[in-house]
Amino acid sequence: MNARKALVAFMTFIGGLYFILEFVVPPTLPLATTTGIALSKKVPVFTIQTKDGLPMSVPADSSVSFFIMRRNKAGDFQSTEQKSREIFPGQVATIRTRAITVGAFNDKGERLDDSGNPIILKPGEVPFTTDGLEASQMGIAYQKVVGRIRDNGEANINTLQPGEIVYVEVRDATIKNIDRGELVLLVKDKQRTLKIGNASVIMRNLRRSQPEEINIHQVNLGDTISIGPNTLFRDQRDTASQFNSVIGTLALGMGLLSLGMVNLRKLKKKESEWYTSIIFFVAIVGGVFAGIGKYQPSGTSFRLFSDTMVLQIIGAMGTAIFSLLSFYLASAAYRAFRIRTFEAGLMMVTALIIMFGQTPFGMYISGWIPQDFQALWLPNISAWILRVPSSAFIRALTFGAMLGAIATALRYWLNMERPAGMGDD
Amino acid sequence: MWRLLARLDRIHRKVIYVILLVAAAIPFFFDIRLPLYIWDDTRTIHELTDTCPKDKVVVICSNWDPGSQSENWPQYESVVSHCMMKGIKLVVFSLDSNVIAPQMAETINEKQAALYGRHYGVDWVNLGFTRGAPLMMGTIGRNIKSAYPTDYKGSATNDYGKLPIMKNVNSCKDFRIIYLIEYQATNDWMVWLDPTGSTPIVYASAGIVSGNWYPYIQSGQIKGMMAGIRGAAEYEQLTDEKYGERYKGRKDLRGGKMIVPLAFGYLVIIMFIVIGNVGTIAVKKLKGSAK
Repeated sequence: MNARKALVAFMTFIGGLYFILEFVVPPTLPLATTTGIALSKKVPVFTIQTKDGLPMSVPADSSVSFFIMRRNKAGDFQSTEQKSREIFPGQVATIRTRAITVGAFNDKGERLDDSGNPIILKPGEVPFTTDGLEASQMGIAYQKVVGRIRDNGEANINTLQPGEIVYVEVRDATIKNIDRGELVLLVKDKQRTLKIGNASVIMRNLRRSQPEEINIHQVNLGDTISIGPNTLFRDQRDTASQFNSVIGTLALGMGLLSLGMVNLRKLKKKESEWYTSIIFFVAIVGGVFAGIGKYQPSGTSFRLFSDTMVLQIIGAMGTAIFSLLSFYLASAAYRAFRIRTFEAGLMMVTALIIMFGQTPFGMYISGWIPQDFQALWLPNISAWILRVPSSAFIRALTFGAMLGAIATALRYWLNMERPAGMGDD
Repeated sequence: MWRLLARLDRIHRKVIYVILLVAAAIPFFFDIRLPLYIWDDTRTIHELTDTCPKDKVVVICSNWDPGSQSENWPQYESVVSHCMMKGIKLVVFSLDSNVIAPQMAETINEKQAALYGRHYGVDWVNLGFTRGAPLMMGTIGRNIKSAYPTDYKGSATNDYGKLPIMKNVNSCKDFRIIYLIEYQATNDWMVWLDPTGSTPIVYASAGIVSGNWYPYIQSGQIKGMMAGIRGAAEYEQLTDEKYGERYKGRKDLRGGKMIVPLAFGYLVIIMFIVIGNVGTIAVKKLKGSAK
């Protein structure tokens, strides 16, 4: 095995391993994980200091979210939502403490929430709504302070319609101390109180799908919960995804480069139909300009060029090719659907019902049937065929195809098949 | 008589082509509207979209291109026009599609936004194109801003001054519903986007492949479907029935227009299937009498 083959085999194995681990490796260390039925919980409490130096205690219930500023791929700082277990003392975070649905006014003219309680903001809290147009026009981003806010803890929000949602945040707060809370589980008929640590992951086991990671405040009485130390694998999923994206994009560039080299060689050697290579390069240049032009404002000539290239030329050509299919389809249907055997007749009748069901004519033909017997309307018969016999067939087909795909994938993964582009040996 | 009918057994394909062309072209010269029977699959997704709460967004993975625009354009247009009319916030992106897919989508977005006075970044955002499915589907479900750090126009998705709509869009928990509009979207979305299966997924695909999704509707993995032009026309009709005059751009939408030539085309195909069988029977009769 030469070095190139070994490299491809190794990369294929690593890639396959990642996919398997993604699904197979549990999110918590198996022997250190406890599973039981939730009986009660004590939610975490975050002691923070606001930007102005005010201390605040935030119980991390269902309305609380944490955001940390991180650099994104473009190099800009980006506010990223974090799970409460990913927050540590000393960090600076924006904490969304709650969301309030605005209700009516009370007799004193104070604004109430939708439960009828006065809306009270603590010092350091910033309210905002998401109707960002007005806010962005004012040049203060999404931050729209509404109503009167007084430092004594009273606030009236009086500029909004009932039903609108107001979010409340504490911006750039420093985390001083964290009590991660605890959970009481029923494990093998015994109650166990489990302290939540920095690396604890809480998973809710679901009847119909994969377990989901939740925060402690999302635990409901009676949920089947697994708690254990994090395996750290799940937290790297976004990195793996971005790596995959980069590889895919590189492949796109390599394809273009390869096409360019082939066409350049054709031009140099004046091979047969060499002029098609000129069209290729003209199309590439046109495509590049169209690509740049799409970012220009509507109405500019550059944008017009881009829209003409994409919608009027590429769009028209693509649609023309696709629409040719309908003519072949009509011709093929005329020749294929002949009642030569019982099975062929069955297929033809089914095809006719499905076709009538897909068009308004289905109801023209069968609409006279009384509503009590609407199951006999052609669209309903068509729907039944698609939902019952057709679905059963598709399930069987998919199941068989997937078994084959798993076998083939295993052969590729273990280098038992010859990878593409590796020659004949 | 049988000899005459037997000629129907071998009609030249050019005759079929011409008749199909004429039938499909007639509705373009006369304004014909046909009443529709609304399928449950379309009704479900329309209701889910129409009842979108203010703190959630409708998300569209717009992967269609010129090749499939005859069916996907009306589908995309029907959802966008509904959202723009009602003021439902809309997030659009493309994943592993033709690279011009975001531009095709934006053409419709801008047209509908102008009609209803909506603003980019506030009422809708186009996040552009990225690669890397299926892993990227998981990233979109967990943290869409990590998958799309900038939008189609180059603004950072965390720049809430330019894109206030993104302030409350972080993971699939903020999606009211996600539409996958392309010729035939991959099944991977059901596995990767939201492993808990609580985000409503809708497939809007070409009519010819729409039969593939019924097993998944039965199992609850997808909430509904928009099947080809029929689905788009039904969606438009549902919006029209509910909002009437307020849905002012309806007459220019392609769903209601394109269902008519499609229906006429189907009629021609059905007609030729019947004619072909009459011809076959006639040929059999002739052969029988010759023996």
